[in-house]
Amino acid sequence: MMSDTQREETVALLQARLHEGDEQITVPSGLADRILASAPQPSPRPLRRLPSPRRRAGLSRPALVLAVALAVGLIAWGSWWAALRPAPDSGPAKQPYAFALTVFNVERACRAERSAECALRLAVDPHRRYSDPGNRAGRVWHGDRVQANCVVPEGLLLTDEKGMSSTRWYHVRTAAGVAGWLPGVRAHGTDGVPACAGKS
Amino acid sequence: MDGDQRAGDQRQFDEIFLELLPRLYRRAFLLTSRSQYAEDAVHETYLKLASRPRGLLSHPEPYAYAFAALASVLRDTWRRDRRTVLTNEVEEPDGVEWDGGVEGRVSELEVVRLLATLTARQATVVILVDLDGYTIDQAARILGVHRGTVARSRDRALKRLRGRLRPPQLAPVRGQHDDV
Repeated sequence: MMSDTQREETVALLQARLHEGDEQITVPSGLADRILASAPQPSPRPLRRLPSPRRRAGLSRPALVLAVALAVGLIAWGSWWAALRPAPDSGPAKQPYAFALTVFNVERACRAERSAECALRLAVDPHRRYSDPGNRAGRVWHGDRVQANCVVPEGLLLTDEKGMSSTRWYHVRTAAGVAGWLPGVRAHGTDGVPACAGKS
Repeated sequence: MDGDQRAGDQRQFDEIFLELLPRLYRRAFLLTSRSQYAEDAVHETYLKLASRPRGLLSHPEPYAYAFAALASVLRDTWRRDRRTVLTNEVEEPDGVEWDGGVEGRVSELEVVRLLATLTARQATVVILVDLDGYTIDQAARILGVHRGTVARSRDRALKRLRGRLRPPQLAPVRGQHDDV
Protein backbone atom coordinates (compact mmCIF):
# COMPACT_ATOMS: atom_id res chain seq x y z
CA MET A 1 0.00 0.00 0.00
CA MET A 2 1.37 3.39 -0.97
CA SER A 3 1.24 6.27 1.43
CA ASP A 4 -0.01 9.60 0.16
CA THR A 5 3.52 10.97 0.13
CA GLN A 6 4.85 8.02 -1.84
CA ARG A 7 1.98 8.36 -4.25
CA GLU A 8 2.60 12.06 -4.75
CA GLU A 9 6.29 11.42 -5.33
CA THR A 10 5.52 8.72 -7.87
CA VAL A 11 3.06 10.97 -9.69
CA ALA A 12 5.51 13.86 -9.77
CA LEU A 13 8.34 11.70 -11.11
CA LEU A 14 6.07 10.03 -13.64
CA GLN A 15 4.77 13.33 -14.93
CA ALA A 16 8.29 14.72 -15.22
CA ARG A 17 9.41 11.64 -17.16
CA LEU A 18 6.37 11.76 -19.42
CA HIS A 19 6.87 15.40 -20.33
CA GLU A 20 10.58 14.93 -20.80
CA GLY A 21 10.05 11.93 -23.08
CA ASP A 22 7.22 13.61 -24.95
CA GLU A 23 9.47 16.53 -25.84
CA GLN A 24 12.13 14.24 -27.27
CA ILE A 25 9.86 12.53 -29.76
CA THR A 26 10.02 14.06 -33.20
CA VAL A 27 7.47 13.47 -35.90
CA PRO A 28 9.00 11.73 -38.94
CA SER A 29 9.33 14.06 -41.88
CA GLY A 30 6.78 13.49 -44.60
CA LEU A 31 4.30 11.71 -42.34
CA ALA A 32 1.62 14.33 -42.92
CA ASP A 33 2.08 14.10 -46.68
CA ARG A 34 1.90 10.33 -46.63
CA ILE A 35 -1.27 10.42 -44.60
CA LEU A 36 -2.95 13.10 -46.69
CA ALA A 37 -2.05 11.23 -49.87
CA SER A 38 -4.40 8.49 -48.68
CA ALA A 39 -7.27 10.90 -48.04
CA PRO A 40 -10.61 9.60 -49.26
CA GLN A 41 -11.66 11.51 -52.37
CA PRO A 42 -15.09 13.03 -52.03
CA SER A 43 -17.32 11.85 -54.84
CA PRO A 44 -18.13 14.66 -57.27
CA ARG A 45 -21.83 13.94 -57.05
CA PRO A 46 -23.53 12.64 -53.95
CA LEU A 47 -25.60 9.50 -54.19
CA ARG A 48 -29.22 10.33 -54.88
CA ARG A 49 -32.28 8.43 -54.06
CA LEU A 50 -33.70 6.50 -57.00
CA PRO A 51 -36.74 8.16 -58.56
CA SER A 52 -40.05 6.64 -57.72
CA PRO A 53 -41.52 4.17 -60.25
CA ARG A 54 -44.03 6.82 -61.24
CA ARG A 55 -41.26 9.28 -62.09
CA ARG A 56 -39.28 6.63 -63.92
CA ALA A 57 -42.36 5.81 -66.00
CA GLY A 58 -42.46 9.44 -67.00
CA LEU A 59 -38.96 9.35 -68.55
CA SER A 60 -39.21 10.77 -72.03
CA ARG A 61 -38.72 8.43 -74.96
CA PRO A 62 -35.76 10.34 -76.56
CA ALA A 63 -33.90 10.33 -73.23
CA LEU A 64 -34.43 6.60 -72.89
CA VAL A 65 -33.11 5.98 -76.43
CA LEU A 66 -30.07 8.15 -75.72
CA ALA A 67 -29.33 6.29 -72.47
CA VAL A 68 -29.55 2.89 -74.17
CA ALA A 69 -27.30 4.08 -77.03
CA LEU A 70 -24.74 5.37 -74.54
CA ALA A 71 -24.75 2.10 -72.61
CA VAL A 72 -24.28 0.05 -75.78
CA GLY A 73 -21.46 2.34 -76.90
CA LEU A 74 -19.69 2.05 -73.54
CA ILE A 75 -19.91 -1.74 -73.57
CA ALA A 76 -18.55 -1.90 -77.14
CA TRP A 77 -15.69 0.47 -76.30
CA GLY A 78 -14.87 -1.51 -73.16
CA SER A 79 -14.68 -4.78 -75.10
CA TRP A 80 -12.43 -3.21 -77.70
CA TRP A 81 -10.16 -1.80 -75.01
CA ALA A 82 -9.89 -5.13 -73.22
CA ALA A 83 -9.06 -6.95 -76.45
CA LEU A 84 -6.66 -4.51 -78.05
CA ARG A 85 -4.84 -2.70 -75.25
CA PRO A 86 -1.11 -3.41 -75.01
CA ALA A 87 0.11 -6.30 -72.87
CA PRO A 88 0.93 -5.40 -69.28
CA ASP A 89 4.47 -4.46 -68.27
CA SER A 90 6.93 -7.15 -69.17
CA GLY A 91 9.41 -5.73 -66.60
CA PRO A 92 11.59 -7.47 -64.03
CA ALA A 93 8.82 -9.41 -62.36
CA LYS A 94 8.23 -11.37 -65.56
CA GLN A 95 11.81 -12.57 -65.99
CA PRO A 96 12.78 -15.87 -64.32
CA TYR A 97 14.76 -15.76 -61.08
CA ALA A 98 17.55 -17.97 -62.42
CA PHE A 99 20.71 -16.44 -60.93
CA ALA A 100 21.85 -17.06 -57.38
CA LEU A 101 23.58 -14.10 -55.73
CA THR A 102 25.15 -13.80 -52.33
CA VAL A 103 24.49 -10.76 -50.20
CA PHE A 104 27.73 -9.08 -49.22
CA ASN A 105 28.24 -6.67 -46.34
CA VAL A 106 31.55 -4.88 -46.45
CA GLU A 107 31.44 -4.29 -42.69
CA ARG A 108 33.16 -7.27 -41.09
CA ALA A 109 31.57 -6.65 -37.71
CA CYS A 110 28.17 -7.22 -39.27
CA ARG A 111 28.88 -10.40 -41.14
CA ALA A 112 28.02 -12.78 -38.36
CA GLU A 113 25.11 -10.86 -36.92
CA ARG A 114 21.51 -10.91 -38.06
CA SER A 115 20.49 -7.89 -36.07
CA ALA A 116 18.50 -4.88 -37.23
CA GLU A 117 21.64 -2.78 -37.20
CA CYS A 118 23.37 -5.18 -39.58
CA ALA A 119 20.44 -5.62 -41.96
CA LEU A 120 20.80 -4.45 -45.54
CA ARG A 121 17.81 -2.99 -47.24
CA LEU A 122 16.15 -4.23 -50.40
CA ALA A 123 14.79 -1.17 -52.17
CA VAL A 124 11.43 -0.74 -53.84
CA ASP A 125 12.86 1.47 -56.57
CA PRO A 126 16.51 1.49 -57.74
CA HIS A 127 16.18 5.07 -58.92
CA ARG A 128 14.89 6.53 -55.66
CA ARG A 129 16.99 7.68 -52.72
CA TYR A 130 17.97 4.49 -50.90
CA SER A 131 17.26 5.93 -47.47
CA ASP A 132 13.70 7.08 -48.27
CA PRO A 133 11.41 5.65 -45.59
CA GLY A 134 9.04 4.36 -48.26
CA ASN A 135 11.81 2.75 -50.29
CA ARG A 136 12.02 -0.41 -48.24
CA ALA A 137 10.88 -3.71 -49.73
CA GLY A 138 12.63 -6.03 -47.30
CA ARG A 139 15.85 -6.87 -45.52
CA VAL A 140 18.72 -9.24 -46.09
CA TRP A 141 21.92 -9.99 -44.26
CA HIS A 142 25.49 -10.81 -45.22
CA GLY A 143 25.72 -14.31 -46.65
CA ASP A 144 22.05 -14.64 -47.60
CA ARG A 145 21.50 -16.40 -50.89
CA VAL A 146 18.95 -14.63 -53.07
CA GLN A 147 17.69 -15.31 -56.58
CA ALA A 148 18.16 -12.55 -59.15
CA ASN A 149 16.36 -12.23 -62.43
CA CYS A 150 17.80 -9.07 -63.92
CA VAL A 151 19.93 -6.00 -63.36
CA VAL A 152 19.42 -2.29 -63.89
CA PRO A 153 22.86 -0.96 -64.88
CA GLU A 154 22.08 2.70 -64.37
CA GLY A 155 20.27 2.99 -61.09
CA LEU A 156 21.15 5.36 -58.28
CA LEU A 157 24.90 5.58 -57.60
CA LEU A 158 25.65 4.01 -54.24
CA THR A 159 28.95 3.96 -52.37
CA ASP A 160 29.69 1.44 -49.64
CA GLU A 161 31.61 1.99 -46.42
CA LYS A 162 34.94 1.22 -48.14
CA GLY A 163 34.37 3.64 -51.01
CA MET A 164 33.32 1.10 -53.64
CA SER A 165 30.64 2.58 -55.92
CA SER A 166 28.14 1.09 -58.29
CA THR A 167 25.02 2.12 -60.16
CA ARG A 168 23.99 -1.48 -60.75
CA TRP A 169 20.95 -2.79 -58.94
CA TYR A 170 19.81 -6.40 -58.99
CA HIS A 171 16.18 -7.38 -58.84
CA VAL A 172 16.17 -10.26 -56.38
CA ARG A 173 13.84 -12.48 -54.46
CA THR A 174 14.67 -13.78 -51.00
CA ALA A 175 14.05 -17.31 -49.76
CA ALA A 176 10.98 -15.90 -48.01
CA GLY A 177 9.63 -14.69 -51.35
CA VAL A 178 10.25 -10.97 -50.80
CA ALA A 179 11.26 -9.21 -54.02
CA GLY A 180 13.24 -5.98 -54.15
CA TRP A 181 16.32 -4.28 -55.50
CA LEU A 182 19.73 -5.13 -54.07
CA PRO A 183 22.51 -2.58 -54.70
CA GLY A 184 25.47 -3.86 -56.68
CA VAL A 185 27.84 -2.92 -53.85
CA ARG A 186 25.97 -5.41 -51.67
CA ALA A 187 25.98 -8.32 -54.12
CA HIS A 188 28.54 -11.00 -54.98
CA GLY A 189 28.45 -13.60 -57.74
CA THR A 190 26.59 -11.44 -60.20
CA ASP A 191 27.97 -12.88 -63.45
CA GLY A 192 25.53 -13.46 -66.25
CA VAL A 193 22.54 -11.58 -64.84
CA PRO A 194 20.73 -10.04 -67.83
CA ALA A 195 19.52 -6.45 -68.03
CA CYS A 196 15.94 -5.85 -66.99
CA ALA A 197 13.49 -5.48 -69.82
CA GLY A 198 12.16 -1.98 -70.17
CA LYS A 199 14.50 -0.46 -67.57
CA SER A 200 17.57 1.63 -68.12
CA MET B 1 -25.22 17.24 -48.26
CA ASP B 2 -23.81 18.14 -51.69
CA GLY B 3 -20.39 17.45 -53.17
CA ASP B 4 -19.03 20.93 -52.40
CA GLN B 5 -19.93 20.62 -48.77
CA ARG B 6 -18.32 17.19 -48.56
CA ALA B 7 -15.13 18.57 -50.11
CA GLY B 8 -15.25 21.51 -47.69
CA ASP B 9 -15.69 19.17 -44.73
CA GLN B 10 -12.80 17.05 -45.92
CA ARG B 11 -10.54 20.10 -46.22
CA GLN B 12 -11.49 21.33 -42.79
CA PHE B 13 -11.06 17.84 -41.37
CA ASP B 14 -7.57 17.59 -42.88
CA GLU B 15 -6.60 20.95 -41.41
CA ILE B 16 -7.69 19.96 -37.92
CA PHE B 17 -6.10 16.54 -38.16
CA LEU B 18 -2.80 18.04 -39.29
CA GLU B 19 -2.80 20.31 -36.26
CA LEU B 20 -3.36 17.29 -34.03
CA LEU B 21 -0.91 15.07 -35.88
CA PRO B 22 2.31 15.84 -33.93
CA ARG B 23 0.61 15.31 -30.61
CA LEU B 24 -1.16 12.16 -31.74
CA TYR B 25 2.05 10.75 -33.18
CA ARG B 26 3.91 11.38 -29.93
CA ARG B 27 1.16 9.63 -27.98
CA ALA B 28 1.19 6.73 -30.41
CA PHE B 29 4.97 6.49 -30.07
CA LEU B 30 4.76 6.43 -26.29
CA LEU B 31 2.19 3.65 -26.47
CA THR B 32 3.87 1.53 -29.13
CA SER B 33 7.56 2.39 -28.62
CA ARG B 34 8.20 1.98 -32.34
CA SER B 35 8.18 4.74 -34.88
CA GLN B 36 6.80 2.51 -37.61
CA TYR B 37 3.96 1.24 -35.42
CA ALA B 38 3.19 4.78 -34.33
CA GLU B 39 3.04 5.98 -37.93
CA ASP B 40 0.75 3.12 -38.87
CA ALA B 41 -1.51 3.76 -35.90
CA VAL B 42 -1.82 7.47 -36.65
CA HIS B 43 -2.46 6.73 -40.30
CA GLU B 44 -5.15 4.22 -39.46
CA THR B 45 -6.71 6.70 -37.05
CA TYR B 46 -6.83 9.25 -39.85
CA LEU B 47 -8.56 6.84 -42.20
CA LYS B 48 -11.00 5.82 -39.50
CA LEU B 49 -11.94 9.40 -38.67
CA ALA B 50 -11.90 10.60 -42.29
CA SER B 51 -14.65 8.17 -43.17
CA ARG B 52 -16.97 10.33 -41.03
CA PRO B 53 -15.31 13.77 -40.93
CA ARG B 54 -18.23 15.45 -39.20
CA GLY B 55 -17.60 13.38 -36.09
CA LEU B 56 -14.33 15.22 -35.52
CA LEU B 57 -15.55 18.56 -36.87
CA SER B 58 -18.55 18.70 -34.58
CA HIS B 59 -16.78 17.44 -31.47
CA PRO B 60 -16.16 20.08 -28.82
CA GLU B 61 -12.70 18.68 -28.16
CA PRO B 62 -11.16 17.26 -31.34
CA TYR B 63 -8.00 16.03 -29.61
CA ALA B 64 -9.96 13.92 -27.14
CA TYR B 65 -12.05 12.51 -29.96
CA ALA B 66 -8.97 11.69 -32.06
CA PHE B 67 -7.14 10.20 -29.07
CA ALA B 68 -10.08 7.91 -28.37
CA ALA B 69 -9.94 6.74 -31.99
CA LEU B 70 -6.19 6.21 -31.70
CA ALA B 71 -6.63 4.19 -28.51
CA SER B 72 -9.24 2.07 -30.27
CA VAL B 73 -6.94 1.49 -33.25
CA LEU B 74 -4.10 0.45 -30.95
CA ARG B 75 -6.38 -1.86 -28.97
CA ASP B 76 -7.43 -3.58 -32.20
CA THR B 77 -3.80 -3.87 -33.26
CA TRP B 78 -2.76 -5.40 -29.95
CA ARG B 79 -5.61 -7.89 -30.13
CA ARG B 80 -4.63 -8.79 -33.67
CA ASP B 81 -0.96 -9.09 -32.74
CA ARG B 82 -1.77 -11.47 -29.92
CA ARG B 83 -2.98 -13.90 -32.56
CA THR B 84 0.16 -13.64 -34.67
CA VAL B 85 3.14 -15.95 -34.36
CA LEU B 86 6.38 -14.41 -33.21
CA THR B 87 9.47 -14.91 -35.31
CA ASN B 88 13.11 -14.00 -34.88
CA GLU B 89 12.63 -11.04 -37.22
CA VAL B 90 13.22 -7.68 -35.64
CA GLU B 91 11.90 -4.45 -37.02
CA GLU B 92 14.46 -2.15 -38.52
CA PRO B 93 14.45 0.96 -36.41
CA ASP B 94 13.38 4.11 -38.15
CA GLY B 95 15.84 6.84 -38.78
CA VAL B 96 18.36 4.35 -40.12
CA GLU B 97 20.34 6.23 -42.73
CA TRP B 98 20.17 3.56 -45.38
CA ASP B 99 21.34 0.37 -43.79
CA GLY B 100 23.61 -0.67 -41.03
CA GLY B 101 22.80 2.46 -39.02
CA VAL B 102 21.92 2.46 -35.38
CA GLU B 103 18.92 4.18 -33.92
CA GLY B 104 19.91 4.59 -30.33
CA ARG B 105 17.67 7.43 -29.32
CA VAL B 106 14.52 5.36 -29.26
CA SER B 107 15.85 2.94 -26.71
CA GLU B 108 17.14 5.79 -24.63
CA LEU B 109 13.71 7.14 -23.98
CA GLU B 110 13.21 5.88 -20.49
CA VAL B 111 9.58 6.79 -20.45
CA VAL B 112 8.89 4.43 -23.33
CA ARG B 113 10.42 1.59 -21.36
CA LEU B 114 8.39 2.54 -18.31
CA LEU B 115 5.12 2.60 -20.21
CA ALA B 116 5.96 -0.73 -21.79
CA THR B 117 5.77 -2.30 -18.33
CA LEU B 118 2.10 -1.32 -18.08
CA THR B 119 -0.96 -2.87 -19.64
CA ALA B 120 -2.37 -1.09 -22.68
CA ARG B 121 -5.21 0.40 -20.66
CA GLN B 122 -2.96 1.52 -17.84
CA ALA B 123 -0.59 3.23 -20.28
CA THR B 124 -3.48 4.93 -22.07
CA VAL B 125 -4.91 6.21 -18.80
CA VAL B 126 -1.52 7.42 -17.57
CA ILE B 127 -1.02 9.38 -20.78
CA LEU B 128 -4.43 11.00 -20.58
CA VAL B 129 -4.21 11.87 -16.90
CA ASP B 130 -0.53 12.44 -16.23
CA LEU B 131 0.62 13.80 -19.56
CA ASP B 132 -2.45 15.44 -21.04
CA GLY B 133 -3.76 16.62 -17.70
CA TYR B 134 -7.30 15.27 -17.88
CA THR B 135 -9.14 14.37 -14.71
CA ILE B 136 -10.17 10.78 -13.99
CA ASP B 137 -13.75 11.65 -14.97
CA GLN B 138 -12.70 13.29 -18.23
CA ALA B 139 -10.42 10.37 -19.11
CA ALA B 140 -13.28 7.97 -18.43
CA ARG B 141 -15.55 9.92 -20.78
CA ILE B 142 -12.89 10.01 -23.50
CA LEU B 143 -12.24 6.28 -23.30
CA GLY B 144 -15.90 5.45 -22.85
CA VAL B 145 -15.39 3.46 -19.65
CA HIS B 146 -16.48 3.83 -16.05
CA ARG B 147 -14.50 6.26 -13.89
CA GLY B 148 -13.78 3.44 -11.44
CA THR B 149 -12.04 1.52 -14.21
CA VAL B 150 -9.85 4.51 -15.00
CA ALA B 151 -9.06 5.18 -11.34
CA ARG B 152 -8.13 1.52 -10.75
CA SER B 153 -5.99 1.40 -13.89
CA ARG B 154 -4.06 4.46 -12.82
CA ASP B 155 -3.60 3.20 -9.27
CA ARG B 156 -2.18 -0.07 -10.54
CA ALA B 157 0.04 1.78 -12.96
CA LEU B 158 1.43 3.98 -10.21
CA LYS B 159 2.08 0.96 -8.00
CA ARG B 160 3.90 -0.79 -10.79
CA LEU B 161 5.98 2.25 -11.70
CA ARG B 162 6.92 3.12 -8.15
CA GLY B 163 10.48 1.96 -7.64
CA ARG B 164 11.18 2.01 -11.34
CA LEU B 165 11.01 5.79 -11.35
CA ARG B 166 14.20 7.42 -10.24
CA PRO B 167 14.81 11.13 -9.86
CA PRO B 168 16.60 12.58 -12.87
CA GLN B 169 20.37 12.42 -12.53
CA LEU B 170 22.10 15.72 -12.94
CA ALA B 171 24.54 15.84 -15.82
CA PRO B 172 28.13 16.62 -14.77
CA VAL B 173 28.95 20.25 -15.20
CA ARG B 174 31.80 20.94 -17.59
CA GLY B 175 34.94 22.28 -15.92
CA GLN B 176 34.22 20.85 -12.48
CA HIS B 177 35.85 17.46 -12.94
CA ASP B 178 39.03 16.72 -11.08
CA ASP B 179 40.88 15.92 -14.23
CA VAL B 180 40.15 19.18 -16.01
